[in-house]
Amino acid sequence: MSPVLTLCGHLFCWACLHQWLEAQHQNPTCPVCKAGCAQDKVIPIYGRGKEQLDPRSTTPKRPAGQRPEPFRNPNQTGFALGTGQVTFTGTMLPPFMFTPFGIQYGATYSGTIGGNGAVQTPMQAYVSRMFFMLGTLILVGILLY
Amino acid sequence: MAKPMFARRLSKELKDLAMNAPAGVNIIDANDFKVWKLGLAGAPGTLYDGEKFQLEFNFGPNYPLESPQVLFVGDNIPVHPHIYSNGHICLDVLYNHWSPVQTVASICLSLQSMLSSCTSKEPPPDNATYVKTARANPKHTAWAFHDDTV
Ligand SMILES: [Zn+2]
Ligand SMILES: [Zn+2]
Repeated sequence: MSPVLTLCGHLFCWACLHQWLEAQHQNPTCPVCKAGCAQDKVIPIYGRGKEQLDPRSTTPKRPAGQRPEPFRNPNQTGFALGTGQVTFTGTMLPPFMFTPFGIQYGATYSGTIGGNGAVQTPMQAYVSRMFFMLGTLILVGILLY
Repeated sequence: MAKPMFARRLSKELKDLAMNAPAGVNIIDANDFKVWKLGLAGAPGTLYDGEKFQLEFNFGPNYPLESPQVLFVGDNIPVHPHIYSNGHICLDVLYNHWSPVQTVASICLSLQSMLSSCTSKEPPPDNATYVKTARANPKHTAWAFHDDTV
């Protein structure tokens, strides 16, 4: 019967939850944990079967699910440094070649991107160096052949 | 027309209580969905060990969206810093902290734990004035909740 999930992770039947949220409309809270619980933040749960209609006409429509855009990493090769806006033009290198130069750009742009790119964990630094060496090798390879 | 929500909910609670009541809790009278009377026994090893109390639950048509009216009745009202001698109980879940996940059984358990954690059997300090002025329904009292540690 129209199951819904609150943002705090508690499962209810929509008819019951709606009545409770309406009853305390100034400050709607989850019946279980008292977390804030706005009606439009409730997530419907869909089974695989056909959606059954609730016969009670007094029951308002269950909120629709939200459809956020799938997350896309602007820096496909991994270790994003927060320099997603930096674009490269006029290069003929294959996409994976961006990476080593991206790091260098990241370092020079770090002042304008809120220090995000300047802070590197040892792991990131290690990976950066690895990719830089790899990039240089491939570049040398391309130049030699 | 389907059974109203309070009736569906209370028949389920009654079934659960009959099958599996919390320790020290027994149904005395639950013949309708308006008023139930339950027995509550003081837990062994506490200040109320061996005592028997009676609780009255009054359910409105909006139960469980609204809390029931709960009070101690009969000739043995627990002497406790949060229980007035007219049976009114100072317990937040019965009033502004009510939520429909509470049940008759969970209220009984809360009351039992309130009794069990008591370290000195004393009436509330304002008992005399409160009992003189309070309305019959404890839900009409503007409760200022004392701390829960007593
Ligand atoms: Zn329901
Ligand atoms: Zn919750």
